[in-house]
Amino acid sequence: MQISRTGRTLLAAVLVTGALAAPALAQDVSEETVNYFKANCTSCHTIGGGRLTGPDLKGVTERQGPEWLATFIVNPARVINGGDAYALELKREAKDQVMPTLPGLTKDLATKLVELIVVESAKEKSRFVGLQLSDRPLTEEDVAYGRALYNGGTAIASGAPACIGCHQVDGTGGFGGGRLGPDLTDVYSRLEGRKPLAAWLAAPPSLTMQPIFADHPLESDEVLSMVAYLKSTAESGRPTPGHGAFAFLIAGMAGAAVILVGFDLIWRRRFRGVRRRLVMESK
Amino acid sequence: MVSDFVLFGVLPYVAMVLFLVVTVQRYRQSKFSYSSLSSQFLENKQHFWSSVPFHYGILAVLGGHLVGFLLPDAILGWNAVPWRLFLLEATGLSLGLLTVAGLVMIVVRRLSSSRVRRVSTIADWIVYVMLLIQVVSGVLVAYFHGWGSSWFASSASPWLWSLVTLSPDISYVAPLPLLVKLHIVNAFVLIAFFPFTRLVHVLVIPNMYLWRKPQVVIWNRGGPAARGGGR
Amino acid sequence: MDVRSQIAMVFHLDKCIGCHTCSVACKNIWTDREGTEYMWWNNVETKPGTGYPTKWEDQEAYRGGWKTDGKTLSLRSTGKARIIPNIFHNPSQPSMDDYYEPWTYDFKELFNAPEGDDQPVARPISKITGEHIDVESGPNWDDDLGGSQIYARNDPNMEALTPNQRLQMMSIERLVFFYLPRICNHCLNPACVASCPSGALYKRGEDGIVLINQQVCRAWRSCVSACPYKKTYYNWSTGKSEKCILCFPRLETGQAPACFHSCVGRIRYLGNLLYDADMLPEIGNLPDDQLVDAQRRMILDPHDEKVIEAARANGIHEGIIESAQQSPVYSFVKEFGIALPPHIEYRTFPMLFYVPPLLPVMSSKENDVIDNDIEDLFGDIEKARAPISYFGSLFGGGNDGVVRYALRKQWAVRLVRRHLTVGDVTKETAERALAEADCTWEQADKIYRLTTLASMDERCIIPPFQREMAIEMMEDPHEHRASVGFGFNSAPERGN
Repeated sequence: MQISRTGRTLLAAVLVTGALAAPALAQDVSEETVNYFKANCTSCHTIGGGRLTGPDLKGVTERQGPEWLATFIVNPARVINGGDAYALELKREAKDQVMPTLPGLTKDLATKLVELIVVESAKEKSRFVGLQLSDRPLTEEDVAYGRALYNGGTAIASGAPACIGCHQVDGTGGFGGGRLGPDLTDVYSRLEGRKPLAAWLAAPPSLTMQPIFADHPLESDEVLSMVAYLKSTAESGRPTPGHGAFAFLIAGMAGAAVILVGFDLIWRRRFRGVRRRLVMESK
Repeated sequence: MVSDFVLFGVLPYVAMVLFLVVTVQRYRQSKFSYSSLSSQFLENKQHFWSSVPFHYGILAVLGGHLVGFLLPDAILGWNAVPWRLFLLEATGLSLGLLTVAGLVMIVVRRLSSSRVRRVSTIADWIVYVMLLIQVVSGVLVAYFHGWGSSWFASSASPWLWSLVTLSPDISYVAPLPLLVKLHIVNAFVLIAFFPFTRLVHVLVIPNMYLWRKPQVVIWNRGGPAARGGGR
Repeated sequence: MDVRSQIAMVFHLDKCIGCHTCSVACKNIWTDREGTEYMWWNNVETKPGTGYPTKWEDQEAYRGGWKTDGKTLSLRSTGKARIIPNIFHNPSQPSMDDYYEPWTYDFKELFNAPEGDDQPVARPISKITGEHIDVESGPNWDDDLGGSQIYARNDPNMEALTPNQRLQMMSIERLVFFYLPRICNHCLNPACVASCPSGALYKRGEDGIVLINQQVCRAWRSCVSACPYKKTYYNWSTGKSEKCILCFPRLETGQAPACFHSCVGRIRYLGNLLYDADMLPEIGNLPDDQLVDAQRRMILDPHDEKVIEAARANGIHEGIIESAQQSPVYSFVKEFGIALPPHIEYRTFPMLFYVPPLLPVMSSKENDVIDNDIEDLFGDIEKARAPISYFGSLFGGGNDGVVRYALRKQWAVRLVRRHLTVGDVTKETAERALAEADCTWEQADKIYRLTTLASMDERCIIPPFQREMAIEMMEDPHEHRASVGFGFNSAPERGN
């Protein structure tokens, strides 16, 4: 859920101090729209950069009218379920991937987004052309660099956390990768190749990753290396979501047991009662 | 979602306000009620196996959360090498399991010793249930949604800081799994409930003892008090 | 010289008849509330015996008091930094099982039982849980040597005796016992105060009474472990520790504490002493057997001009100096040298002193003839039924000499009185005894008078507490009178 910064501040102010503050109106509407587009649309769409998960939006208004587009953006699922022919075609092209309904997206904002797309489409090179990756062949060095980025051996330049914290990839060893996010061993084939995966990595659209990577994006050579690494794992390994979990559990229980034994040793001279022992021993 | 906003954008403030206002007011109004309410006197064998693991476990785990909150980059830096990450996680899980074991013993002791049952209040039981939810969900999160030490630093810490700076940004936590959300929400409910329970003893841990003179002498009228009072 | 005043006490053990009136007086006033049923701020033990809590003198088990490395004192339990790792489970805290579980009886059963062949029985019910219990122990479980094969035999003071002496003490012909009434000693170097992490315990500057501030106590139980006499108690109901307050509300209004007031045998003496607080650090680390003498050195002569001057300089009021000069405790402890502190090797410097009992052999039986031979009537104190080293362990810090001195002087006083009243002891015998006991006719007379004739007013010299002056400094006395209470706006009940 996205709430404007002023709104959040206001809410917090009301909550904490109980005082009412006058809401400051956003001065630059188009700036807000650009930011919104950047944050919510670019992981699936480019403007003039070709198809990602969703279609290239360059000149989209020539394919459908602004009114239809705005309605679709506000709630794609409803339009599709409504049986709109063009919408169903879009869904088929996206391999049944339905565009998510974004919370807080109003018709007003959708209209502004369409306006933004029109403006950007008119440009020679839109700022939303997307990540332009080199088409050079992926090398062994790329794979090794990607692996280092994955497990944190090499820090991601922007300061983003390493993938291992949340994701398992076959061949991690030890207790395996994290289990908050999905197993990435075969993500290369799941997302169907280099370009969509690269787009994904360039601006991760999942709700969990988005707020983190919005401010800490991967650089283009990092994206390429990750793609190379994930391509290699997709080719050689297979997903093992529970990898290392059992060993981890055993290690945890062993650790707890060791600590308990340690407590008993440290306090082996603790007071255990006098009277009952005395009476028992004397009888 | 609105419910997410209430849980992660409003509840923490309500909990903290309650915590601060009520603890201070309770201390002013009823200082007498601040006590660890130890029951070691009534039963001191099981007490060792419940109180010691629980307290050491929970303090270490809370300390870990605090480091993740204050120094997220240090945690991420430590975790940059997989074996270090695994070591930290295994230690964390050990301490979590230690806490669970201690807490389970606490509950077993309260139920099995009739003397200790005699001094158990309803508030105690509410505290134990909430603590059980908290530590068990924590251990389950560590197991099912690892590696928490890493993603706490990248997801939870920024959210907590956004709370501190009074600009709550719940986008970091809203998409997290249900178990994690339960852990977070229960934590703040616990904080809100804290000042009404025996948990306040945490706030009166002895801190001046290490520095004060061994003997305490209080003078009624002047006397050598001018020379410092104590011996 | 840092002169301070301290309320001190003497219990004359030869006079104690073991009636427990003191214990009951105390209980009725202070410890009849929930959570305090098991507490006996005043209790009377049979010696030899293990006392209450069981075997409290065994500091290997209870770890109370101070230990010294020759230079510095440290608490045997959990002092300073050691409190932190030990705060979750106090490793030297006795539990209720080492005292006893208080109980009452199911008296209803006596009236409500249906008619039957058997007499209805009132079974014991725990005062904690309300459930039926099997009574295993009580505050005077070994009273008058009851269960002596378990209790008297395990008296920690027995360790000071030779195996032969131990055997003799337990043999039926020589069997001996005496009573040891115990209250808080209001020590000069209290381990309980030093151990309290919260700073709830304190010693009152003016009179040295050791108290626990109930508002500050946080139930860390350190005082319970640290007190080697086990005279601080944990109230399981309120979650606060409590102890003997020396009936300070009574003292402040000029009345003797309840246990003193009610004492049937008139064994109790109370008065204030002047002592030099500056000496404490240096004498605290002396070897065990020098401690009794060192403590006596610390107690100052209230008639000495220099002492009086220093006392005045320290803000001690004339009235308090005056009462120190009349203090019977000063006479017993310092002037006569016949009152000794209990277990001074715990190094808390107790301010309750005991006159050790003489326990003479009154008659002996040989060849079926009972011999009351007057020449041997009081025999030799070395031949007394309880070996000197038993008292040496209990009252001398292992130093039998101070005990022998106290007993010999009492013996001399008896011979003097026998000579004066009955006349079957010659003057020469009496004089020889006096000389051997380092005693004069005058002193013997004074001991005799203080021991036997002293009235309540002479036994308890209560110094002026001058509460009114203390109150005046803080607030308007009229306002104080209108608002004074016990310091609680609501009942001191267990918190959540």
